[in-house]
Amino acid sequence: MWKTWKPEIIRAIILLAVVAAAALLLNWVRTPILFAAADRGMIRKADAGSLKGVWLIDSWKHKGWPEVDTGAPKSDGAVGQDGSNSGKRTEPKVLSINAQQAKDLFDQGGCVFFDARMPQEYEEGHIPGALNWPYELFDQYYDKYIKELVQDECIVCYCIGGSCDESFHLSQSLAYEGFSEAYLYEGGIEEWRFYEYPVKTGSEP
Amino acid sequence: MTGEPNTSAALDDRSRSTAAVSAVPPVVYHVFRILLGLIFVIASLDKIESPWNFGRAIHVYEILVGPLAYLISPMAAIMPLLELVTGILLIINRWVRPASLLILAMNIVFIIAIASVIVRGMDIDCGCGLDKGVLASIAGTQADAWALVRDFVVLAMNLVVLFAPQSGRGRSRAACMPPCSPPQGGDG
Repeated sequence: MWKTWKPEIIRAIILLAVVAAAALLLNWVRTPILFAAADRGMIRKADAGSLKGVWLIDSWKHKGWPEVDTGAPKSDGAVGQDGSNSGKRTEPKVLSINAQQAKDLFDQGGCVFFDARMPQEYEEGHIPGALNWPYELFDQYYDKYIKELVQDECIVCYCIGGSCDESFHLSQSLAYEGFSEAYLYEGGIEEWRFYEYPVKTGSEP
Repeated sequence: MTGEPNTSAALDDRSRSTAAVSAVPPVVYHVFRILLGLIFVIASLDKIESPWNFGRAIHVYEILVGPLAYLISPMAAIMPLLELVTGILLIINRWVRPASLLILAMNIVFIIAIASVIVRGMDIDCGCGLDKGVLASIAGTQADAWALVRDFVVLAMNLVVLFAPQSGRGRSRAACMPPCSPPQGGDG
């Protein structure tokens, strides 16, 4: 049995090794190419960020993922810069905040809240004052909002909560666009409702 | 392999192990092979385009935690290309068994991961790569019981492809057994 399958298994291992080497090489070279294209204005930085490669020693847990409940929001360096004015590019970081921190930012004002869900969901109930920027329609809304925002403005992104991805992607994309203070409210509107914080219905912010 | 003294015994082993699927008509084998190849090619495209998003999909499974989190990036880099290459090999009928073995390994990983999600009562995207368009509406995007059923269907198809007697360019010398004639040419 072993002798009949041995050549096939050896081939499978060779195939795996070759593909692994090619994949790691591909992911290693694609990131600088994408960011070089972004620097030349050929693609948006947000696209370069979301399409960038991964490399063997990267850890999504420590490098690319939002940190969870890491303390009160900070305005000084809590969020990484795009780094286009420095020789070395750093990963933009989006700080994850909990419900209380989101409420504090809401009460204090000064932060722009973005609801990353589709318009119909937004109309069914959203955080008062939050603007609707559906991540699935990122490009359509890009021109509408990007000119109005100042890059040192504080932004908070949320979606329905739980495991929804839209707010994560929106916050990361905006961080890559250079927004220096981007927060991700992972609990989303479900958690916001759970704590009976104010909710507004309709298409108006 | 053909020159080894115990070849006939090995072939007997192979005959017994493949008895259950050797009755599968060639057309079924070829349909499964091509279908399986297409599924893996299509599923790989989004992941190859954005390994970063695929890494997040792996991350939210919360299986690779602590020091194991360092495996997420290599997996996010390697697995999509592996899916693409094995899918293409199945479609073009070359190195079918090695490709099928790798698909089997990936499939087992998927099944364990999705089963663990169901057991833990999590509600997450499966990260299967079929997140858009018609395929998503048919196949669904959540890591749920339906995703598990899909994976078992893929597993069954893959086992047929793996154990069925092969013919044509996809066979290897080791895979060749009566009535399959010895391969001609370099693919081996």
